[in-house]
Amino acid sequence: MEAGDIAAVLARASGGDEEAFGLLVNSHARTAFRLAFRLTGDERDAEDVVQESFIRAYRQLGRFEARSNFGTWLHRIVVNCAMDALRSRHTRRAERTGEPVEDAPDLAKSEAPSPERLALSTEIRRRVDDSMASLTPQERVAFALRHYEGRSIDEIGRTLGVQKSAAKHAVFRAVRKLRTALEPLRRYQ
Amino acid sequence: MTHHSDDELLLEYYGEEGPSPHLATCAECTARFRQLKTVLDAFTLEPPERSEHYGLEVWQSIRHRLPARESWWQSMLGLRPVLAAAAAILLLITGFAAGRFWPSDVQPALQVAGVDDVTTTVPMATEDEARRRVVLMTVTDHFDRSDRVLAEIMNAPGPHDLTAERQSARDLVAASRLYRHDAVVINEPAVAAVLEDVERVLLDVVHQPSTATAADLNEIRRRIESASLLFKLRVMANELQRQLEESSSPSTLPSTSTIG
Repeated sequence: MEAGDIAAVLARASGGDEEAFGLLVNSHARTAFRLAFRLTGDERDAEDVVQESFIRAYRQLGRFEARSNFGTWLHRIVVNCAMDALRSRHTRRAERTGEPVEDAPDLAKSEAPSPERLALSTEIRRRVDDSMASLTPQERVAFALRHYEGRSIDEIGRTLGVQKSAAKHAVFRAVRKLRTALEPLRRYQ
Repeated sequence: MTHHSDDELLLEYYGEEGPSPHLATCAECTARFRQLKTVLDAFTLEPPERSEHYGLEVWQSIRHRLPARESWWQSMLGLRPVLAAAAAILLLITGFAAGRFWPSDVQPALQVAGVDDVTTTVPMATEDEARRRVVLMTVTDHFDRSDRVLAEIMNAPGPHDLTAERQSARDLVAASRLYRHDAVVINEPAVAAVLEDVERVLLDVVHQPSTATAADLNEIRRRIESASLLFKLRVMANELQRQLEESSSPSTLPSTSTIG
């Protein structure tokens, strides 16, 4: 869809035209999914986040300013929805284990797999996944936006509605935890 | 010499700050930077691909969960009283005419769809409801065929022999005019509107030369894309299909106008 078309469709959608909103969903859904997946790291969660984001966008369409970019506006909504999904997942994990999950698991203490028995790349992948799961929602989102999406710290702060320094420290904390989690593998590299 | 902290190296890795002159000259910081890079480079995440229909799937999943709002055609009629009055009169006239002549067509059409005994399958069905089902089934099939023709044009390499597509489009345009009338009769203005949109582009296809150049094809594709025709077609076809499948009793068959 071209820029002029998007503006016209947006105007119709803002006026309550559901069909026009459907066109916006159609043209932005795949981008929204890629973002949601990078933030949540889970296909099913990403699907839910995409749907929830569009429902939320529809509800808030009246607040959208015509001069703004719909993609940018939707990006922020997807991030917020993903953050909610991660918080909910985080809480469920805490309830299941009965322990706080803020800190990275002490992977260094776990028995390192023998290189003969296990491919190192598989172990790295597992540890990467485990270490990502250990991050708080804000750390995870800040890291994903910086690392996978290539957003600047400044943009991340604006998207999350926090100061630039807070966004920066969220990324710092995330990377520290990730490095700690992967530290035991250094000896094989 | 003051070495970089880990956090400073991280900002360097992400290019948040300009290139560090210190890093270029300090072997210790360079080694630490390489270690950091090795760890962070291990974090890759490629999202699974989604098909080109993904947007449509999302829309189908959420459209019934959206809060009720006035649809576009209701707004249009509300803004144009003359048009609303004309539509109402047309509806009355066609409804009256259809009521007189339609019943003889109902049963054969249902038999085509595999319903052998209308009275057994839909005992509560009134003539209007049965007629409505027939129209929706026919239009759903028409949308599928239109979709195929337009999709072929979207994927055709240029130059391309359009003879087959032009013939199909001509047939579809002729049928579409009848179906639009039927859609109005059964109070489905949203269906009629999509039929009209598709008809316009099909007419463009009919008027193309037999051998379309790449430029000709691009122009038709632009029209198809700018009107989001394939999307509209698929949404409407899916919606009609869903209604037909879900309505175990024809009396529960809702209008797409109240749904969309």
